[in-house]
Amino acid sequence: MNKQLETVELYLEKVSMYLEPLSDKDQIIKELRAHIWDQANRLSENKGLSIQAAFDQAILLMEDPKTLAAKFLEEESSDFAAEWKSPIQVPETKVQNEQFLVLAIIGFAAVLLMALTIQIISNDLLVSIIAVIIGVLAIGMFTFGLYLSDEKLFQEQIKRFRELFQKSEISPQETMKTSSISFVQEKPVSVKEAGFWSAFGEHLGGFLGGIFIAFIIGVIFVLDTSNLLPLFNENWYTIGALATYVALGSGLVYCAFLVGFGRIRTTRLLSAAKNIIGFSCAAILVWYYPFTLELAILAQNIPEVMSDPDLLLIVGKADLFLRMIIGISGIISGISALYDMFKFGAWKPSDRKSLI
Amino acid sequence: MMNLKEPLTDDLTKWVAKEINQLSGSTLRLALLAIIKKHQSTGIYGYAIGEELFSFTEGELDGSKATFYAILRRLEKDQLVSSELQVSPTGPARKYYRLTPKGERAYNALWQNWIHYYGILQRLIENK
Repeated sequence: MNKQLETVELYLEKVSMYLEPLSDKDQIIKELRAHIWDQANRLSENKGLSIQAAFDQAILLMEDPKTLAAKFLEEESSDFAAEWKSPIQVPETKVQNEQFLVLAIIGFAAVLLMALTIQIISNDLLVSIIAVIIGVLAIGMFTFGLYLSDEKLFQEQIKRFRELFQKSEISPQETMKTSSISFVQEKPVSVKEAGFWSAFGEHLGGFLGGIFIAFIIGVIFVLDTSNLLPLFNENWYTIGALATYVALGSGLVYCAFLVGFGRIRTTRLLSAAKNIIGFSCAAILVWYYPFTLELAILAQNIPEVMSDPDLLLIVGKADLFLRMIIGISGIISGISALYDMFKFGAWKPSDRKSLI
Repeated sequence: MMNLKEPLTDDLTKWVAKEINQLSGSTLRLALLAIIKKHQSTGIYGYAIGEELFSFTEGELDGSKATFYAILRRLEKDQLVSSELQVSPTGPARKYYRLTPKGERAYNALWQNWIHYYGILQRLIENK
């Protein structure tokens, strides 16, 4: 590399280092590079400077890298402050409170439905009562959390981080590592407002998973109440009740944490933990739970089934299919956990961009 | 531009500096929009904006330090200006800026307001 280019690149490298929190820093650097070249050309033409001298002079005319980067960060901060909402209100993008609330209620309702189904089948009133109490509490706390404003806290952290950055003699990366800011990466703000469906798509995995589970519960419920198949034996009651308690319990703890502390990073981690529990439960069920679906169907001795070899073949794989369904829901939970942990930078300092 | 007969106290200096900083920031935004508007048909690239900024404001608003790029970026994010890359004969590709229709409306509204408030202050201060 030519010496004059080295000087320019060295300067730009310093600016780039301070611009680390910005997602479009490469574009900024490109434009600054073009500016320096234009400046050097003009100096060379007007003052008859050599190429090297012109580039040196152009760099001297530039603002100090840290101050220049601070200007960009300052402009970014006003943008981020305007766009920012609490993690409960806007999960990473512009999903509206109402959409998120509806999804949350559907999710809790699905769990409640499961609890009620078990209660109806098992005649165990206690399961139902506890499930309803916990569910209503969770929905209430979640709704309350939606309207909690964390704006003040956010502004304080912005201010604090900016001060750290301005006073710091260490690199911005170091500053980010050492600061205790717990705000998560905000995606580069899209110029276009996210539409309902595109925003909704962000949560499609969870939504489809919920619908899928609700569908299965519905099918089981219909089959059982119409006395077509006695699917629920004692094992199912126990495991069903246990799953309900665990799901509601972890959901409740998660919501309580959101309301109590409302920090993105920690709540993301908690959400990840919740999903890991879901994944682990599904894995245990797949490997160890003694499914009896095949036996239950065969016990009915339905003539149409018993006389049709193709149907018998399918019935023979009923437990396998059930394992696959539970496995898929477990995988969805696992992916959600990874999503919580890594996609939005739950703990990766390098991902916690747009902090200032 | 601070031209005061009596020296200011530290606190007052800070207060005035802060106010001036805000005022010059707003001025710079409007100046950038005005320069880009002047070159609406062809578009104008960053360095040329800096040069015009310097020459038209007699150095009061200095574009050589490249800090105005931060504001250009902000304006672009706010969809007040649009940009396109064009090959430069002297070096890396340049980003050419133009006002968007939204930017033109914002510029006109801002300028009208400046005139309006300037008039108010002038009447207030000169007719005391």
